[in-house]
This record gives sequence, structure tokens and C-alpha cells, in this order.
Amino acid sequence: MLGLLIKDMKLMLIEKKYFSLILLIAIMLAFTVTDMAFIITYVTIIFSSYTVTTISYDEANNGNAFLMTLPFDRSIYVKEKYLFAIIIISIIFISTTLITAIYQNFTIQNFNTLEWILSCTLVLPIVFLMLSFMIPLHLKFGGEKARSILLTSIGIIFVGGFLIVKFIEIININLTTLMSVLNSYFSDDFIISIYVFLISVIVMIVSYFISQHIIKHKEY
Amino acid sequence: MLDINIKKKYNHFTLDCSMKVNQGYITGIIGQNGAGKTTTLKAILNLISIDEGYIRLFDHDKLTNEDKQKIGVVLSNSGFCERFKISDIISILENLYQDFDKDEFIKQCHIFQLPFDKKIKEFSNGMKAKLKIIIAMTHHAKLLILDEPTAGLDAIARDEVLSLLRDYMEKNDDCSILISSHISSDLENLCDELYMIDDGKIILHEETDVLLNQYAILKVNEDQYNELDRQYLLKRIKQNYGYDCLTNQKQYYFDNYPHIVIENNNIDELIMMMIRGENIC
Repeated sequence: MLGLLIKDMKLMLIEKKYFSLILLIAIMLAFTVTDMAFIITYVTIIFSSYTVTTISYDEANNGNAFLMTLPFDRSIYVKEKYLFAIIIISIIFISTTLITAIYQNFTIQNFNTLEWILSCTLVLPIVFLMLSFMIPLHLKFGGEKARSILLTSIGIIFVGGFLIVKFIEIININLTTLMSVLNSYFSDDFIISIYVFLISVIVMIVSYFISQHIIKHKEY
Repeated sequence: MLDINIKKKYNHFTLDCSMKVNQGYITGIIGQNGAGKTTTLKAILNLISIDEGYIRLFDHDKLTNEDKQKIGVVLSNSGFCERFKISDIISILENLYQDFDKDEFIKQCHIFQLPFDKKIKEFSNGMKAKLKIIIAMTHHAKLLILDEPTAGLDAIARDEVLSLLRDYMEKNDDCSILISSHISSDLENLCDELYMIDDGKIILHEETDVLLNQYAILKVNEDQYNELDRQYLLKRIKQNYGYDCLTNQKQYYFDNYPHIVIENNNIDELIMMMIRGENIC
């Protein structure tokens, strides 16, 4: 496992110029945008999505076949990818949240640090859900196909959502009433955040087991 | 050390292969491109599943991580990500292999003048091949499984790679090598025994010395062919002048048929006779 983590860290270091550029852009954004949460979302998504890039590098030039002859189980390979993602997310999320919190403490009067940190955690479900779909897709179909499938899936979800709304309108259900009913159940933003976070964690766990299933049956 | 009997079916190809690799032996698999050499090695390494049969490595059935610690692998079309430098690979290997010999790895890289400051993608084919072999050999592997380690190399680079393997066996006489190639001369000079594979099936298994010393091609006209004792003939091919016949008892025909032409075959001719030749009833 440690060898694999070092491999992915080394791959990441090869891209240090690219990641330095991302951090530079984030610093520049800090002086130009008022919404610091955007910077945290931007940096966390870019860095965490590198987990998927490492899968593409592993499979480049049929490298996976050799990789799987090295002394570790296939299940360890999947474990390492999710662990690598969690490590990267933790480092980037914690560091950017703290830096932006400290910065805003100096620049904004009566800044509520705790509220800021809690609001920042909203990026985590987005990142978890993104990786939950992308990791198994990349393991199953490889980089290029996975990207096409992901884009097609997003398109289908949008079209599906649009059709559901239209259908609700046709059968004369009042959406405003429906939303007010839902609001009565989920009136507290904090509670909603916790629900969304927990759902994203569950989705990631399911994604992990799907990835394990994929790798177990994959032929190289 | 290794004993396999495997069957794997694809749409247009079936691998049906049995073989053994004994301790201290260099065993070669030879055959044309697409004959099933790589598929066999991939099955041994658990890179593909098998439909029927067994793979017994180090006296047990399932390939474990402990087994993988004792195996060194070279795959012809696969290796470490080519964005890495040798220094990156050292860090990875020393954290994967319990017995990784870092000093030996660095020493071998220096001997073969492999640059530490260049990415692998900038290496020549010969340098890449040597690096693959060094990676396979520097964690005290008991079994080297090498798929076409000399493919795409010029004669000098091929000789250097084969010398590395000979040195390894000299230093580690309890180890074994299973090596595949479609370049017969490489295996002819290296292997103790050879398996010949064609269309997914083993068509010949023999010790290399026996193949080179006892097998021969008899070149005979129709009359000579009709007079021949055919009990030691394996295959024949019709020619303008009569027949080419493959025998595994060259001395018998030398002694009893002094007037016929008997050519000492090389492995390429043997493969051609085994694949294209018709059986002699």
C-alpha cells in the first residue's frame, strides 16, 4: 500500500508546475472574488480529481498489467485510490479552509469563523460524489471512455430532471406546495448539510465496493 | 516450481496448455506472434482468469502476495509509467518488495549506463528493456517470468539482456526462469528446455540439447522416401524434389541411410516443420 501511495504522490509531484499554477490562480482569486467558498471548491475539486488522473497514468501504455504483477492484492489497489483521494481532499480542504478563515478574520469585521468552516464543508459532498462516480468509471472503462460516459450521464440527468418537472406540471401537482412541504421537514440548513454529507459518504462507500467488484473481475 | 494445466477460451482462440518449470531450469516458450505465449504468462500471473485447469506455483494453487514477492516479471508491452525517472522507481520498489536490493539496482543501472535524471519515456528501447530486467532481478526473485524481453532490440542489446539472465542464473542456481520469445536464436542459446506453442496448444516439449542434437531434417526424393523407415519421422513437407522430413532420431538415419541429405536444423526450421508439416501415418 505504501509503495502505491508513494507512486501516486510521485506522479503528483511530476505535475508540480501545474498544481503551483492552480494555487497561484487561487491566490489571485482571493484578491478578486468576494466568495471565498468558490476558491475552496475550485482547489479541492482540481486536486482531488487527480486521483482519477493517476488511474489514467497507471493504464497508459498498458501499464496496469505490469502494475498488477507487483506484490499487492487487486483490492489494495482500489483501497489505495480511495485513501489517496481522502488524503488529498483532507490536506487541501483543511489547508485552504484555514487559510481563507485566517485571511477573512483580518479583512472582515465580526467574522464568524465557525460558521465559515461549516459552510465550507458543503464542498465535501460535491467532491465525494464526483469521485464516487469517476473512480469506478475509470477503473471499468479507462480514461477516455469514462469521460464520455460521465458527460453523457450528466446530459441524461439534466434531460431526465427536465422531463420530471414537465411531467409534474402536466399532472397538475403544485411544485410550490411540494417545496413548502419539503421545507417544513428540512427547515434547518445545518441539518440539511449533515444529511447531504452522510448521503455522499454512503455513496462513496457504495462506490468503493463497486470499484472492488470491477477490479476483481478485470482482465489485463 | 511451476506446474500449469490451463484452458482459456476466447471468441476465435482457445488456449489449452500444460507445462512445468523445474527449479534451476531456464524454460522457454517459443511460437509465432499470436500463438498464445503472452496469454499463458498472463494466466500464470493472474492477469487473466482461466476457464478450466490449475496453476500451481511454489507448490500451491493461489497466487499470493508472498508469491509475488518471489517473482520477477517482465512484460513486453507493459511497465512502470514512463513519466517516472529511475529515482522514482527506486522509492516505489523499496516500499513494495521486502527484499529489494537497492544497492544492486543502482549498481546494475550504472553498469548499463541508464540515466537517473531522465524520464523513462526518453530512454531508447534497449535502455527500457534493460531497466525492466533489472527491476525483475533485484528483489531476489526465485522465479523470473519474462515475456519477450528482447523484442524490438538490436543484436547487441539482445545479447546484453541475455547475458544479464545468464549471470542471474549463475549467481542464483536455485532460481528458475520462464521466458517467452518468437526469436528462436535467443532461446536456443539460453534455455535448458523449450515448449513450442502454436494456436494455443503445446506442439512440442523437449530439452534444448536434444532438439539441437537429435532432431534433423531429412531431404529425400520420392524413391528415397518410399524406402525410408518412417517410425522416427515426425512430420513431412512436400517439396519439388520430394520431401523434407523431420526426425528426432538423427543418428539412426545417419547410420542406416548414408546417402540421404541430413541437415542439422535450427529452432526456426523445427517450428516451421512442426507447424506446417503433415503427420506421417
